[in-house]
Parts: sequence; C-alpha cells; structure tokens
Amino acid sequence: MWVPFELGRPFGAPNNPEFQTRVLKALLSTLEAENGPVLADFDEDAPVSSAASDGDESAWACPIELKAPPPQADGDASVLEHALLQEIGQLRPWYELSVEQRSRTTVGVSSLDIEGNARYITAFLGDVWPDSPAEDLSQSVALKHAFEDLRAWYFESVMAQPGQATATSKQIVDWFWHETTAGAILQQLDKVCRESDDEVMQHLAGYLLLPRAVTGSVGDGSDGRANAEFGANRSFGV
Amino acid sequence: MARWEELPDYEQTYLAGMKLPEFKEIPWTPAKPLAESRIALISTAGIERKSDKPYPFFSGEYRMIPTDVDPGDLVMSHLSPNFDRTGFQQDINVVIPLERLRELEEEGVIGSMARFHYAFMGGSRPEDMEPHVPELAKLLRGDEVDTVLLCPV
Repeated sequence: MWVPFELGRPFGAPNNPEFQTRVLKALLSTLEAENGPVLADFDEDAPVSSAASDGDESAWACPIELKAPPPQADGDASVLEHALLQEIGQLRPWYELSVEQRSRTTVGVSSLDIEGNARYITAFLGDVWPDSPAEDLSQSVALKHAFEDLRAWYFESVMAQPGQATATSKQIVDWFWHETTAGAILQQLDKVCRESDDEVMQHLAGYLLLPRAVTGSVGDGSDGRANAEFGANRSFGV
Repeated sequence: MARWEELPDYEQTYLAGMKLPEFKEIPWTPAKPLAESRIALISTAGIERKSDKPYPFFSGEYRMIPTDVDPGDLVMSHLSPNFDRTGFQQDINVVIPLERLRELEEEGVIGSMARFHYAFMGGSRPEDMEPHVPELAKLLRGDEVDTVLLCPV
C-alpha cells in the first residue's frame, strides 16, 4: 500500500493513534482481496501542525540561544571539543526533561555516554584518530554509532522545549545541521573522512553521515545500490 | 513514500535513478479472515533493543522485537541519514505500530498479535537479507503467524 507520508513515518503521524489506526486498517483491508496482486493507495495526508500547514516554516525556532557559535571548518580539535561539550551542557536540562516526559530515549546505540560520544567524534578532527572504544567494533562503526546518538540526543533535547509542537522534522533537521556546533563539527568530520586514505571512512562520509538535504548530492540515483554493494563481502569488525 | 511533487529535486533525482527489482512470478495466497489471523510486523527501519548487537554495516541480519517490548528499550541504528527520525523519537508506533495492533486485537478486528515481531536494516541488499529468511519463516511458523505486515520506512 502506497502512503503519502514523509520518509521515516510509514504510519503517518506520531502521537496520533486515531490516524495510525486508519492507516493500519487500510493496510489490513488489502488482505481481504480475493485476487492479486493488490496495489492500494492511502491518499489521506498526515495531519500537520498549524504552523506547517500555514506554510510558515519560520514560525519555529529553538528558544535556546546557543553560546558557542558554530566553529570554523579549520578549527582546532580541542577547541571544537570544548565548544561541543559546552553546547551539550546548555541542552542537557531539556534532554533530561525529554526522558522524564516520555519515559524513554532513543539514545543508546553507542556504548558511550553523550560526553564520551562528543569526545570520540571531535578526536577524529585531530592529528591522530582515536581507537575504537569497544574491542569488537571498528573505528568507523563506533563513529557511526556515536553520530547516531549525538543526533538523537540533540533532536530529543530540542523537541522537549516549549513550542516544539509546531516544529516540523525539516525545521529540527535544519536547526541541527546549520545552527548548532554539533552540526558544524559533523560537517567538518565529513570533510576529514572524505579526504582520508581510509576506504571505509570515505564511504561513511559519502553516504552515511550527512543527509542529502545538507550535501545536496544527488548522483544518478544508483548510489543507494552502490552503498549496499560496498558492504557486500566486507567485514567491519562488528 | 512521500508524494512525488513534495520531494525536493535532489530526492526525486535520486529515486528516479534507482533500479527496480524484477519479479519472474507473482505468488498469490488468499489471506485468512482478519478476525482469525495471527499477525506479525516486520520493519525495515533498523530498529533494535538496546541490549541487542547493533546491525553490522550493510548487514542482512534481523533483530527480534517481543510484542510486549518496552518502547523505551527500542533504538534505531539504520545506516541511512536520509529519512526522518523525529517521528520515531516521539512515538514508536509511527514506525512499528505495536500499540495500534494490540488495540485491534482487543477489539477483535484481528485474531491475535504474534509474540514476536522483527526488524531489518533496510539499506542492505535484498540478497544479503535472503539467507536469513528461511530461519525467520520457521520462527514465524513456530509462533503460528498467519499474516505478516511489511512496514518499510
């Protein structure tokens, strides 16, 4: 069944049980067909916030004024680490509130805590890359996990703040990548990985760190396949 | 899949260039009546329990999700940075609708929920997932599952 929703939301809208149930029932109804194949459309758009429906995407902004400006691309690793840890300190109360309100967090892919992830990521901007924090993980896999947790931590922090109900996923993504020190550091990390001699790190930068919304990179559409092909017959030490 | 006209140009270009699979045959099996069906969910969102080993890069492995899993125990380690995470962070049901399916079970719309559901990391090649499928099919049969709902992300 085709659905018109944003990628990543196959049942349409978070915290909207009624809408999710409509999608699920429509999907289940395809099982009642006597002949197939069945191709069905679910043509109802997911509910959106009033700000987004007005087309006013500027209505939302992170209320917290982050103290550290996004560092320059040629910044010193220790300076960047300090700036990132400072930013995390600013957002921490909101992350803790998020965990308290939802009784859950999606942070936890990495074995490191958020400060450990911040230090591990920024260390790749220095002269000597850090060892993997876990014996059974390669450097690159550990880096990807640290990235996943850092991004999730920021997203959950900002969504706990007042006014978050009107934020679209695009606004949150734009904020993360363009207004935070974390986003600036990850863009610099992407550049470092691209320029390295390490094939896996190059691939990490090419496909797995920055979204196409940030890089604008499109290729010819074969890169998803090339991405998966890259992983075939390789061991990444996991 | 979003509406085509709402996708940005770079995403349209990317998707238009993707090679679609070709199927030599179209298998068809009429489903049991819903009210008698035991149903499992299979997601490709790369979700796992925190205690699970994260998906190796490009792995075709699957992870098991108990039907009574604590939502706070689920994380997502999908490789792709190109789809929304904020929905899942707010509510797992927008990706894998365990609570919605449970409600339909309680209402008698479906026969029952499976004891276990499963997830893959959808960025992997189908041929890397395929070797795991016979094992998964045995697990689903052992759980007496009649119907599987595939929930791509």
